Amino acid sequence: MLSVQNLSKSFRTDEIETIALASVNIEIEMGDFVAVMGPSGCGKSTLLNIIGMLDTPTSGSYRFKGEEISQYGENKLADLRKRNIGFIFQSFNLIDELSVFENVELALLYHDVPARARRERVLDVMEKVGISHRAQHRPAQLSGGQQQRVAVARAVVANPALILADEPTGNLDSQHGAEVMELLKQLNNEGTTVVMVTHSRTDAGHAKRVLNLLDGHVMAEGLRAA
Amino acid sequence: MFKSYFTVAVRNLIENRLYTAINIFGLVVGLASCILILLYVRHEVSYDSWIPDADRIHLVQTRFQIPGREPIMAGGTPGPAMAALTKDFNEIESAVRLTRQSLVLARGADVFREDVILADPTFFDVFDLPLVNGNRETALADVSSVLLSEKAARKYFGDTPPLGQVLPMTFNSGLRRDYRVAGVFKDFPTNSNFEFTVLVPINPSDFEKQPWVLESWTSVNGGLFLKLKQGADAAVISKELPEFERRNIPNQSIGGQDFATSDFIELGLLNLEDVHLHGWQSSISKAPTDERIVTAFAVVAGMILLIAGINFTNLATARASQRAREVALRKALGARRAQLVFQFLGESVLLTAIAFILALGLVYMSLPLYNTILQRELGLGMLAGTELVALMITFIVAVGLVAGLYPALYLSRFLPARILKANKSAAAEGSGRLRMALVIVQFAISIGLLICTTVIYSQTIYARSIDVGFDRTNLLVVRAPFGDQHGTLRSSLASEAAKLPGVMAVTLSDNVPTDPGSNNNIFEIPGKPSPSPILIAQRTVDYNFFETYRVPLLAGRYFQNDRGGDDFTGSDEDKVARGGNIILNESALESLDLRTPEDAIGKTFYIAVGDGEDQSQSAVTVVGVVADVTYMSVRDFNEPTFYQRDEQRFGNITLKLSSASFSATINAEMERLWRELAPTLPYRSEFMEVLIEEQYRAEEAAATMFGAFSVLAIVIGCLGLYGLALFSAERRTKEIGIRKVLGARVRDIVRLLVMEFSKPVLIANLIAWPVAWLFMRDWLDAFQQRIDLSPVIFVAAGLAALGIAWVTVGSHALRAARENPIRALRYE
Repeated sequence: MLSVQNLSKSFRTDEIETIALASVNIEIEMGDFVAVMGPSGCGKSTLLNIIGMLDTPTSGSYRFKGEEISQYGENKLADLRKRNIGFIFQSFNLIDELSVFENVELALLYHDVPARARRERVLDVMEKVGISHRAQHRPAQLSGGQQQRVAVARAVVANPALILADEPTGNLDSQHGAEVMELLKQLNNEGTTVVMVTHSRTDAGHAKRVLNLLDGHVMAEGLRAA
Repeated sequence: MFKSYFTVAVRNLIENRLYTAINIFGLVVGLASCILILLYVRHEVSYDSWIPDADRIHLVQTRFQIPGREPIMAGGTPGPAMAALTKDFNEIESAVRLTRQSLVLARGADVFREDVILADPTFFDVFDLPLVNGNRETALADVSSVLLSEKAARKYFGDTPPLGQVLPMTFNSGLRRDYRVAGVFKDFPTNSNFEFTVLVPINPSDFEKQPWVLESWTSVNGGLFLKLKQGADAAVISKELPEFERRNIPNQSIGGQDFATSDFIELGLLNLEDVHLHGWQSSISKAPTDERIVTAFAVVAGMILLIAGINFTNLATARASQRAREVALRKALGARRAQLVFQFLGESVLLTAIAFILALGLVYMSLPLYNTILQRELGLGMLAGTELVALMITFIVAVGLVAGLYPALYLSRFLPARILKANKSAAAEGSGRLRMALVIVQFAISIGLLICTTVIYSQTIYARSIDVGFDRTNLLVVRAPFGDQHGTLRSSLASEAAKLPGVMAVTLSDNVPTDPGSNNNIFEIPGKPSPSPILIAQRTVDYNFFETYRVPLLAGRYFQNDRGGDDFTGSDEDKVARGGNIILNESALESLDLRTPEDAIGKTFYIAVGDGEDQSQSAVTVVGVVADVTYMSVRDFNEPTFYQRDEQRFGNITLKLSSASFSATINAEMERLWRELAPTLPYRSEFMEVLIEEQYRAEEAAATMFGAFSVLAIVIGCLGLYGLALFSAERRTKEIGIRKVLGARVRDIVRLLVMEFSKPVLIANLIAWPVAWLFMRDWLDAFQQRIDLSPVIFVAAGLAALGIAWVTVGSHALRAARENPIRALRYE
């Protein structure tokens, strides 16, 4: 699905150069479920952003579905991103002014999906994550777990091949966290590739592979029996 | 406690420099505009209110209402009204007539032409004005005494004490008298209807040759001012005036037909303080200001203040999220809501106070330009110290308190628990809706002002360029003296002028277009006695006048000097015996029951000859019909007019120049000729194009200022929008990030933000259009010749507002859209 070779990312502020990622090599196959772990500041989120095409590497190669995209411009990346990738964030990042339905629908608005088909897919996905009864509510009226389920629905409504989740359970209690992890697992079982950044060993336990990052280097790769 | 409030207020202002700048700049410009407008409005409404007992002084105005004619409104009074009114109404304490004459004053070898006011010796009984020098009781007792303003005294006598000095003056009638300076009065301030600098008593015997000035009920040559007794009601007199007119105005008999003159004359009282805004045109007072201009200015001031206030409210509530934490903490530490309201109001008052002081500076700096445009002498000095304080308090209350109240109440309402726990802003829906409503108000005002400005300006431009019925270019008018005794002077000036190279033609006439006033004559259609007099304006022109002014001929012919009948010059007896030829203008056709210009040719009518109550008649034959010439402004109707040639009535000499490039040279040549032929008379000349432009100068100035203030209002409104867009982009950072992650392109985001502010602009159009349409229709109705209220103006104003909004919002939108979404989404 994607292959990262010798990938480095550094940030430059005034005089200081901070290296977030140093010569990282990662291969992720179609249908994989990878958990990325590591202490704060080790480069987990940077890696996820680059994989998610929200950021570009300083050097190295990033091949996505066989395409070398490390030198792509913003518009090309945006196009590739919206067709292939869904995001789930720790802080949900729902739009307060829009209803649950509208939040989920938003992901399709930029895909030129006709209104009817859009509606069907949104209802379908909401059914799947179990928030259909909250369709007309505002995010602020939902619990954290429900909000994250809306975020999951939004991430998958466009049928992405890859879901990137940045600490999806970080703001949730253990029960709601488990529910969200179940959803992710279910999606993975249905064929979606999932890459998830997490601090939680429990959550990482749901993944097929765990990637440990420290100071921008991949330290170890543990394979888990599915 | 207070110190903490102040510290927070000041630090907040400094920390949020951009918002503070937007707020203060908007307020400063808004307050400065308001102060400037108020100075003007105050000046315009204060005319002569400084004269003692102004509330008891009334001008008697006259309206001639002749069937078949537009009414003629005169800001003055027939001469005999004074004696009759004082006899009939014991409410009148004193009365004085003022009439203006252009006299030639000599000082040594120098001669000057001055507009001198002639007044009855009762002047000071009505106008209780002090003399700087001289004795008021005796100053006007002697027919040969003259009062000078301080300015005139300096002009004629320099440092010499003026009292007792001799000043010879020559009347148009040829009368010459040595006047003795009996007193000096203070120069009239700019907020006075009067601006005369020389005052002499009326001597009735001087007017024996011009009996109409003081004795005719059908001629207005000056104004009568009445001072009513303490407690007397002007309305009581007004009510009895129709009855008074019937009693006192004698019938006129023309050619054996009797007319009840009182039916056509309507007198009315107008308080002195209302003369400037409500008075009709008159020769004794300054040109009135259209009250609607003053009202429009006052409204614009209010609008600007409203827009600036809305900015204030909007930016304060929009910024609320930034202040929420502070409010929550203060509440958690025990602050009561009232204390917080007090704190926030204090901040807005502080801001307004700073803005007010800066605004005064801005007013001070812009006054010279403002005065030049409006032709006034306004100054901050017009406001007494106490008034300035009152103004400041008013503004601070209006803006600081009213505009600050909602944000204060809104901010102080935050519940500390929610804000501190949620660790985020309380983005209240309500305040967003209020902000949008206020933005709609701002834009409705801006669009309305834009439409009004465009309409007013277009009308002004149109008025200036309107066809006046003649070719106004390269006409030099030399103001030669009227009167029989100057006939030789006029004809030699004219014949010498014709010899100058570059002069294409020279013609003579009584008045020239733009000169105020008109004489009217009564026509009789043979065999068709009319129940009411047919009044037609009478103008006197030389043979070649129409060719020189290039007035189109509609039928018949122009005057020709080889046709004996075309010359009407002669004694009254001659005129009655001989009759003569006349030329009509187009408007006169209807008054005389003529259908087409051709119909008129060869028709004979009777016109009145001579003055007084029993007039004889002379038969006149129409030889030509010409197009209407606009003698007055576009506000007025073109009068039905007949032209005749009568050398005795000539005054002005008009030169048609072959090219504008000779104008200065020829004017200098004319002056040289004049000094040769008339050394005792001052030379005065004017260019017709300038005269016409001057007619519209006041309106143009008002239109310019109105436009400038409208633009300012829009700029201030845009500043607020700029601030709001900034907040909106900031507030929606997260949303923009999410949308971008989900695949939105930069242009999707820009469109999103721009559309957010387009809706209020579109709604504002729907409000502004009908309101502006109603106002402008009424405004244009006052002009006889006016532009159409084209929908293009409305749509253009709406599009302009939309464009302005887009540009204002667009830059923020673009920046927000280009931002990397990671930053927006990483932290909450």
